[in-house]
Amino acid sequence: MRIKCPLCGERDLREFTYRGAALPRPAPDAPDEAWDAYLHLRDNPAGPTRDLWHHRAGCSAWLVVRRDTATHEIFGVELATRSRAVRA
Amino acid sequence: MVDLIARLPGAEIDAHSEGDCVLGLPEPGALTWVSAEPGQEKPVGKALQDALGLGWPRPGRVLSNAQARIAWFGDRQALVMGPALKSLAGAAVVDQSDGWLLMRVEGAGARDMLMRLLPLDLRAASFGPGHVARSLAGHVPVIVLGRRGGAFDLLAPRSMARTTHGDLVRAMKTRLALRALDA
Ligand SMILES: [Zn+2]
Repeated sequence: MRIKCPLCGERDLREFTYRGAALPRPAPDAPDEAWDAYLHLRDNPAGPTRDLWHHRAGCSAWLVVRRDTATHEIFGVELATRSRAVRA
Repeated sequence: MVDLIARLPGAEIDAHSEGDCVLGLPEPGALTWVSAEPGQEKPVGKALQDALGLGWPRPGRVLSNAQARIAWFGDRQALVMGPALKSLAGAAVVDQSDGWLLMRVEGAGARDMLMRLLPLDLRAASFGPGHVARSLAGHVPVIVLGRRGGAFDLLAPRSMARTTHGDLVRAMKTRLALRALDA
């Protein structure tokens, strides 16, 4: 698998570390149920998914990667700092 | 206060040459990591321009003149090579001179040899003078800078410098051995 980092360009999988689902972080005063879901509850999709990856051995940026777990197709990659996916 | 004896990052490392590939250990000058606060790349670039005559580098690029090089180092980060920098408004500035070993590989085989070790497309059409990439040499995170004449500068973290030096020497030998088989 190769991921196209928006800063570095297309790079080998070995440069990246997988973190997990890219989810909007609840507000600090959100109810316990929202935090419980954010921390523990995950879908396990056979299809499109949105994950956080760390370009650990590259530019050290956090990325939001949209990909398909069934076909391994990657639809898009963006910097987590610029992504709406991880904002509430 | 204890009087400590300074040791350079390359103290136990030697230059090496193998066929058409030469590994040298040039003096890099000061290495200063600059991290601009969010949205401050422009004013920090202006301050660098005033101080060194070089601005803020685009992703994957190195700016250079006779006295200094400024290499892109990640989002909102740059590495100033050459003159020492004390501080810049709107940025964190950290002296990392002691933290990296600079190794220079040159010669006709340098590009081919490096591509054995790094998972990067270093072909002349994709990577040349003025380009910089952070990647892996084996399992060690390194910084590669393209130079004129098919030469490359490699910055390896001091703690892993002997590993990377050994990996480079092995890559030089392996490449020659494979070529001898093909011949
Ligand atoms: Zn990157």
